[in-house]
Amino acid sequence: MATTRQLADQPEVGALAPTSLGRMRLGTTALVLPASLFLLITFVYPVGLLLLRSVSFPTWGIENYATIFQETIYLRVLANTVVISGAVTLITLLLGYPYAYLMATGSPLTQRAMAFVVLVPFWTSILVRTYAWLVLLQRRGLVNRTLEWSGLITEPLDLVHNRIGVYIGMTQVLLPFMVFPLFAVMSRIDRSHLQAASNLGAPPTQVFIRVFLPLSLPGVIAGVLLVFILSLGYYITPALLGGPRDIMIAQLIQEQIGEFGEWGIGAALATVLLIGTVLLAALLNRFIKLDRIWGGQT
Amino acid sequence: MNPLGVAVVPPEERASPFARFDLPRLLLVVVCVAIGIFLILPIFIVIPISFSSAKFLQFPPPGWSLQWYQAFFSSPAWMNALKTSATIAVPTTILATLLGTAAALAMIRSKFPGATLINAVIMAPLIVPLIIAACGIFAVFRIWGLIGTIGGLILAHTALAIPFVVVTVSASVRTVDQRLEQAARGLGASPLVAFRRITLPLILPGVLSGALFAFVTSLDEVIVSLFISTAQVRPLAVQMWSDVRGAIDPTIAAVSTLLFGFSLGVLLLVSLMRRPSR
Amino acid sequence: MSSGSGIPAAVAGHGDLQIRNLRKTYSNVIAVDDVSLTVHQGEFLTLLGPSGSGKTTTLMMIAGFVPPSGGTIVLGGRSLTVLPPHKRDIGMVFQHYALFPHLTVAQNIAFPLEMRSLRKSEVERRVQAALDLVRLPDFGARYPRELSGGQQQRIALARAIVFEPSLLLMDEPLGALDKKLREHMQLEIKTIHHDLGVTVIYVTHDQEEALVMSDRIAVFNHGKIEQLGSPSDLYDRPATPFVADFLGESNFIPATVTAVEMHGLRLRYDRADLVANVAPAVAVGDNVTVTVRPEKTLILPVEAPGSERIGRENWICGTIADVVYLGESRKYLVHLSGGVTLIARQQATSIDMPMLQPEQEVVVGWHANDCVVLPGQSEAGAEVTSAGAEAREMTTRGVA
Repeated sequence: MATTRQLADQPEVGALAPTSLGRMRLGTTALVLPASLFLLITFVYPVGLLLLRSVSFPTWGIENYATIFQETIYLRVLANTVVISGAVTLITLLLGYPYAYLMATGSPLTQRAMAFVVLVPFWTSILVRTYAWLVLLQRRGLVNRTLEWSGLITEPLDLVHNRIGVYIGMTQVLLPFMVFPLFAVMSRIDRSHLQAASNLGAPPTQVFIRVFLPLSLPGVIAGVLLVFILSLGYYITPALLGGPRDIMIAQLIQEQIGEFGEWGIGAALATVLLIGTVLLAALLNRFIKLDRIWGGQT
Repeated sequence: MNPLGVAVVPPEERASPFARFDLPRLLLVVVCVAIGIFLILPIFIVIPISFSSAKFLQFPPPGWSLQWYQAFFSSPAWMNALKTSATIAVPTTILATLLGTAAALAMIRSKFPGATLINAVIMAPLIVPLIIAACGIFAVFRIWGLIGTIGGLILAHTALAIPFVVVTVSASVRTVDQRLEQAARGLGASPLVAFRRITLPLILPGVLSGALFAFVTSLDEVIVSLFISTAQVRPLAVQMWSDVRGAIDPTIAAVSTLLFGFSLGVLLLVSLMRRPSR
Repeated sequence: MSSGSGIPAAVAGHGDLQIRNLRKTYSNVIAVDDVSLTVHQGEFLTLLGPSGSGKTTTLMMIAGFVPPSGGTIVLGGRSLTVLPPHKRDIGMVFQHYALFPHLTVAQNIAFPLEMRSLRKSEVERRVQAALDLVRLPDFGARYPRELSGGQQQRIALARAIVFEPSLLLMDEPLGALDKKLREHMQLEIKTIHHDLGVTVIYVTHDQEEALVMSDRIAVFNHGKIEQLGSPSDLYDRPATPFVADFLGESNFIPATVTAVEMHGLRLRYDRADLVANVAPAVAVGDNVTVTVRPEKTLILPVEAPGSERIGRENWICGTIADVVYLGESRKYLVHLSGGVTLIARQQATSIDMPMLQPEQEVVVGWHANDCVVLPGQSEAGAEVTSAGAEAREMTTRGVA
C-alpha cells in the first residue's frame, strides 16, 4: 500500500520540483565559473597576448607574417613540420590499425593486456621515454651493438639526431593516440554486420574490405587528425632526437622567443600553428568528441 | 583460411576443435607483439642501466651497484628539484581537482547559455600546442613578476591540469543517474546533503583518477616549466631536461627508473579505480 | 514422418535439412544437447523456447557462426558441418537486421549477388524484383537509417532471399517491432514463404507467433527438443508439462489413477472423481498430472441448476480468489478444495453476463476430451511452476 500511495503522490512532487530544481540548476551552473575564470586569466589571456604580438611587435603591422612566408628558413621549417607530421601520422596509422584490430577482435584478456601495453608509455614521462631512445639509438647504443654483433652491419648506423630518430621517437609517443580512437570505433562495430556479410556469401577478405574497413573509417579519420594535430606542435621529442635539419615549428618558436627575443616572428609562427591546429581540431570534433578520446583510455 | 582473422566467429569460439590453423591471424599476432615491444621495451632498458657499476653509460652493464641512486639522493641539485616538484604538484593537484570537478558537474548536469564557449575555454589547454601556451604564459608572467616562483608554476600547471580532471570526472558524472540525487531530494535531503551522500561517492573513482592525472601532469610537464623556471626554482622535469641534453649520465637512468616505477603504480591505481564503475 | 533418425541422407527428400546429434558445449555449460531434427523442403519450422534454451545456438550452428561440438548438419545431401558460413548458401534475417549502415538499400540487397559475381544488369533486375516483392519498390537509394523498423525488416528479408537460397533462417526477426506491425509482418512473411516455396527455420520465444506461422514447431528447453509437432498437436496434446505451460496457459491438477479403461482413465483429485479420454501408459495407483486449458473450463456458481452442468464430465468445487477483467474475456483464479489454484477463462459473450465475485463458491467443469494426462507428479509439477512462470514472463515481455 505504501508504494501505491507514493506513486499516487508523484504528480504533487513533480509540481513542486520546478522551483527547487531550478534553484539547484542555477547553483550547479555557477560551479563552472571558478574554472572558467581561472583559465581565462592563466591561459586564454596569455595565449591571446602572444597572438597579439604577432601584429604589434616590434611595430604594428603584418611584417612578421610577410617575413615568415617569404624567407626560406621559415618556409623550410613549416614544410618540415608538415612532412614530419604527415610521415608520423602515416606510420602510426600503419602500426595502429592492425594493433587496434587485434585488440577489438581479441578475447577480453587480449584486450586488457594490449590496452595495458599502450597505456604504459602513455603514462610514462616523455623525458624518460626520450632518454631511453637516446640510450638505445646512439652510435654505441644497444641497437647498433646488436646489429654489429649479428653481422648485419659493420659500421654503426646514425639512428639519432636525425630524421630517423624523430620518426622513431614520435611514433612511440603518438601511437596510443592512434590506437584509442581506432579501438573505440572498431569495438563498436556490430559483429552481426560481419556475420551478415559472411552469410550473404562474402569470403573473409571481402568481409574485411567491404564491411569492416568502411565501418572503421570514422576511427581512421579521427586517429589521423588527432595524431597530425599533436605532431604539428610537438617540441620535446624532435628537439632531443632530431638533428639541425629536422627543426619543427615548435622549436623555431622556442628559439625565436626564448633565445632571440624575437617576439613578433615567434608569435606569428605561433598564430599560424594555432590556426592550423584549431581548424583540424574542429574537423576532428565532428568525428569524435574530443573529451571522449582523452577520457576513454580503455 | 581467414585473412586477418575477420571476427565472424566470436573470439571465445576460436579455440574449438573445428577452428583451423589460422596463418594470417598468427601473422597479425606477431606484428602486434612487435609493436608492443616497440612501445614498452625501450622504457624498461633504463632499469638495468640505473643499476650499472660502470662510470659512464654502458650496455650491458659490467656489474651491478646502487651508485647512481646514491648519486641521485646525495645530489643537492636533484634533491632540490624533487622537493620543488613536490611543492608544486601537491597544490596543483588539489586546486585542479576542485576547480575541474566543479566545472565537470556543471557542464554535464546543466544547460546554460554560452556553454559551447565555456567548454572551449576549459578544453583549450588540450588543443593549444604547449609551446604556444609556454610562450604566452612566459610573456604574461614576466609582466606579473611570477617567473621563477613556486606560485607561478602552480598556476601554470593547474591551468594545464584542469581539462584532464574535467574530462575524467565528466566521464563518471555521465554514468551516474541524475534521478538518484532527485530521489534523495524527494526523500528529504538538502541539495548539499544529496550531493555529498549520493553523487560524490558514486563519482569518487573518477575524481581520484582525475587527481592522479593532475599530479602526473604537473610532475611530467616540461615545456611551460622550462620557460618560467629559474636555476633556483627548478622542478624535476626541467632538471632532467637539461641533463638529457647535456652529458648522458646514468644518474638520469636512476631518476627515470624511479619515475617509471611511479607511473606504473599510478596506472595500476587508475585501472583498479576504473574497474568497479563498469 | 518419412525420415526418422538413422536413415541415411540419400534416402531423404533432396532439399531437406538434416540435423543429427548436434551438440554445443561451452567450457562447462551444455547449450545444445544432442538435437536431431529433419526440416522438410518448403516447410516453415519454428524453434520455440525461452531464452537460453538453445534455439538460437542451434540456428547459429546451421548458419555456421558457432562451430558445433559434435553432430552433423546436412542440407540437400551436402554436409554443412565444417563449411565456412560464406559457402553455405543459406539466407538469414538477423535479430536486429544487420543492414550495412554504409551501404544504400539497393547496395545491401545487391551484396550477396555481387559476392556471386552476377552480371551488373542481372544484379539490378534482381534487386528491383526483391524490392517489389517486399513492396518497397522506390526505396533503393535510401540508407538503412532512413527507414522505419518495419521497412528495415522487409529490406533484411529482401536481402536474405534475393540470391534464392533454398533455406532461410530467421532469428527473432520481429522482436523489435510493436504488436500491430508484428502481426502484419507475420502475415507478410507467411505470404512470401508461400510464394517462394523456400524452407524457413524461424526462431522465436513468442508462442503466439509460433502458433500463427508454423507448419511445425520444435519446443526447446535446456538444450533439448521437448516436443516436435504441428501447432495443434502441441497445443491440444502437449507431451510434457513444460510444453503445456509454455504454449498458452495451463492448469496442472495432481491426481491418482483409480481405473484404466479402454478409452480413458478414471482419476481422483481430493474428493472429486475425474475422467479423461486419453490412455497414456499408466497403471492404477499411479500419480499423474491432469492438464486443462483455462479456456476449456466452465465456471458456475455452486447454486446453479444441475441442468447447466450437463455435457461436462469433470467438476471440482472451489472458491474464487481473484477476478481479472481482460476485455474480451474474464479470468478467474479459483482455490480448489484440495489446495491447488486453478485458472478459468470465460468469454464475455454479452456485456450483461454476470461477473462472479471473489469469495464466491463455484464449481469448475470440463470435458473428458479437453484434458491431457501426463505421467508423474510432484517433481514435474514443481519444475513446471518455475519453468512455466519463466516462460510466461518471456511471452508477456515479447508482447509488451
